[in-house]
Amino acid sequence: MKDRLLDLCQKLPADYVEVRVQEGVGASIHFAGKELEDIGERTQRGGCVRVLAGGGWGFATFDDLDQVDRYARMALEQAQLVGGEAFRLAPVEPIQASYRSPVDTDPADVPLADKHAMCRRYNEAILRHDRIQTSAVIYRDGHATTCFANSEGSFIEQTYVFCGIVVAAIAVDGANIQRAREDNGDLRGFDKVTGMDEACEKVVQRAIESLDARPVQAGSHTVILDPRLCGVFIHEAFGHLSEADFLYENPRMAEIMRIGRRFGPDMLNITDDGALEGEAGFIAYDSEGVPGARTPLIKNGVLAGRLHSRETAAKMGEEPTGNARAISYRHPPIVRMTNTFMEPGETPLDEMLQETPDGIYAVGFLGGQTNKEMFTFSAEEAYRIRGGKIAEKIRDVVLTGNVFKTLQDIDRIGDDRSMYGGLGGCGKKGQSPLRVGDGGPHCRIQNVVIGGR
Amino acid sequence: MPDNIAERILEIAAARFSAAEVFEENSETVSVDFEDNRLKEITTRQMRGVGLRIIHEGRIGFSSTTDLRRPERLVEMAAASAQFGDEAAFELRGQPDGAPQVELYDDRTASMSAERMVEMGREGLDLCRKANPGYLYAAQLGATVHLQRVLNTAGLDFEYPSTGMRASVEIEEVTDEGLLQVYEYRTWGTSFDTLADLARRVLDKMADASTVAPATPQEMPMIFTPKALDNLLMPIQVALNGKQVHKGASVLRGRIGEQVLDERLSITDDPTIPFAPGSCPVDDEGVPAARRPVFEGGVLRTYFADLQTAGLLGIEPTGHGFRGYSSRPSPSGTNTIIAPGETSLAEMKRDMERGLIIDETLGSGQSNVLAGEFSVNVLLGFLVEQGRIVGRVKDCMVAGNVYEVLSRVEAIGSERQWLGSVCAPPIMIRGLKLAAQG
Repeated sequence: MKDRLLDLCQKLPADYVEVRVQEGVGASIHFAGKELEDIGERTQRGGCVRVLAGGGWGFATFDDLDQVDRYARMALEQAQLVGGEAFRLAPVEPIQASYRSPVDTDPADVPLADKHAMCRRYNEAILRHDRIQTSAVIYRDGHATTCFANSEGSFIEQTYVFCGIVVAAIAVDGANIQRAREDNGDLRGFDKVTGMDEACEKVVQRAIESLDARPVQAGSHTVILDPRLCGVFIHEAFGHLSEADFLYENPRMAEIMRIGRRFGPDMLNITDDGALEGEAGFIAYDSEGVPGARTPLIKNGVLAGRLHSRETAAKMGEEPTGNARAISYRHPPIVRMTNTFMEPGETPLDEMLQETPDGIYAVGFLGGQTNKEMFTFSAEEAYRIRGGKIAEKIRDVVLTGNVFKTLQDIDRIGDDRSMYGGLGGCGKKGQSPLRVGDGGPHCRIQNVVIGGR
Repeated sequence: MPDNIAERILEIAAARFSAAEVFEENSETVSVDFEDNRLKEITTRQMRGVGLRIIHEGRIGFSSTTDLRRPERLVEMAAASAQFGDEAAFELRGQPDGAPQVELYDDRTASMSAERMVEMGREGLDLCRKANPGYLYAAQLGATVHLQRVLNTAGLDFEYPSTGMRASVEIEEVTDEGLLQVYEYRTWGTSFDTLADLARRVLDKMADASTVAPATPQEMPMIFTPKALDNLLMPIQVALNGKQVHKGASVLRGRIGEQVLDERLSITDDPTIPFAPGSCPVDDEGVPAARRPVFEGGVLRTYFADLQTAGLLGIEPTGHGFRGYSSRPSPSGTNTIIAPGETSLAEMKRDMERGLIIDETLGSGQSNVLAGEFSVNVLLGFLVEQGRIVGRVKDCMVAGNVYEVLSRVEAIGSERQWLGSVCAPPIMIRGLKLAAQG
């Protein structure tokens, strides 16, 4: 395989060629209420070729690996048709490597019967409660091995073992339907999903409590985010803007995003770190064969760096950072985050609360989205803060902000930090979900607009 | 399909299990991408996968693969799945009776070349450059040929090809005050010859949005354009899913025959429209497709059910079992057709003293969708004063419950637009609250 792929890369008359061949197997289990919607294994196998010729990219992906030569020629023709101004990718030493993510317990060694029994146990624990109408327990694991070869002589074989779970409870009272969920998922192995019993009890309690919660009042609020939501906030409010493919040929945007520009208070530090082994966004090498690395994005409130592919690094005269990622062989690599987080500050949560006479404590996440300027993110649960204390539960808390203003409204950063993965992931340019990690400390933000009644 | 892999898989499965069904998909898409005012990439995507569903000792098993070298392994994985699978509440259907003839394959789309799509993309780029050299243009065009086949041990063997062409244009302007992006797209089964109309629509909106109008928190009427209407339709689609109804997690459970939406709202699910993106002669389980009223004068008429869901609910399957090769069928709608009203968009706007036209939103689907809640940032919203657009609002949100909101309809537009598989007019709602700083 190795020689054949390297040979193919050499053979094509192009400026640069890379091939990825991927083989994967994964198990999934999905309970929805009493029904088992899905159980079993699936396999997938396919490849892709990406060609750079005279400044243009051609990309072909295919399930039929016997046709690799045909699709390689197609990618070359496409690249030639795109054309444009020729350029060189940022230089990277050719790499010969093999990596396999280490796991505590390999999910492949756990019989499907045991996985099924575990998920059923969680599901029954949720459905046992009178006020719970229905449930969701979704388990997924996957082994994917990708062989990467390029025309510079790199050959990298990587295997990642992902494993994750979601448990959710749905409580119903007439037209009032409330849902609560907990999840986890990363590259550490099977052990993490075996201890969700407490999480099942928590989602039951939260869904039931939410039935009596009042919708949040629309307007501008002081908000304290928990570490999970802080991670989503950082991902949406800043992370995406660090992706250089939005900047490298957008001169006005590149000017706005100049290194050294102030984005937040002195205490604000934001980092992307692809080298955190085990975390959901870990990569030994990205989909262009560049090692995963730590990249400071904001240092002391000031823009310090950004995320690159080899093309964006070359065109902006910066170093590649190992952030060109493809979710599978069906897609070309694009600039993505890995594990993105806010570094901890100095304020304990207690103190932060005490200093907040009136506000909202927002915990966990349902989702988030950005258009590079404005962003939204939604809390899984939320409480009013009254007189420095957490008070009654409220619901439907979806927050919005402006990338260029909201970071400046951060006025307290907690002294804790946690990282999170999960079964979901990040979506960009039709590639979703990409496994990413995010996290941070507790943090407080002023003037956050919340939609409500 | 070029070989007999589906038959071989069915044969192996049929020898071991009481019932088996193979679903096969094969597609090729060519697309061209323009970004930052230039052509960047041309892509070919070939995909071929097979899903196998079996019923063994009354239980459902499923597996899928793109690795067609070893059909035995696929059958083994499906068998392992069936050890734990749910009891089947249905029987596989044979060859469909009375499947409608629906035109879905267009030769011109099938032979659409990358060169031709590049030309169209450049045409849009020229228009954009002429309008404002400071604009950044992005466009994507793609043409797909898709072949699907479903066959089973009850005698079903239904194969049909379809084509699709998709185009989108996004123009961005970066100023010191921030960012403006406007996006338009179109998908259809037949090919088209130009991007100019899409590009012009984007440019018109860019012009309307060039001034920023202050967003003050207050209650006002709002017009949802067909693009923004998705925020209101998506929670309803979830609630119409027979699975949610069966689990008691749909707000529409037990409400067939009831007035749920404003009496002027009629919504039809129609898979029989030639070349529409959601059209099909049969669903992915071989059940004939049929046009069905979903809401008649606001009264709920049907849920969406696949074979298993229909069995659990004790109703007839509705022809809504859809899937990709790698998953079991699941209920979902085909084309959503909203009946037009009598007011033109110009008239709606003219009668507005102070109101908002919402065209694009951010954060759709992040709220409590099951309960019908929506809460979104108004990404592209035009403030109307005394019947005229005075500019674009920013940094604000609108929220509500779709059932409540769709009972407060002020007017329904007379002009409809297709977006994806939805054909809808603009809809004006009374008294929605705009949330903003200040």
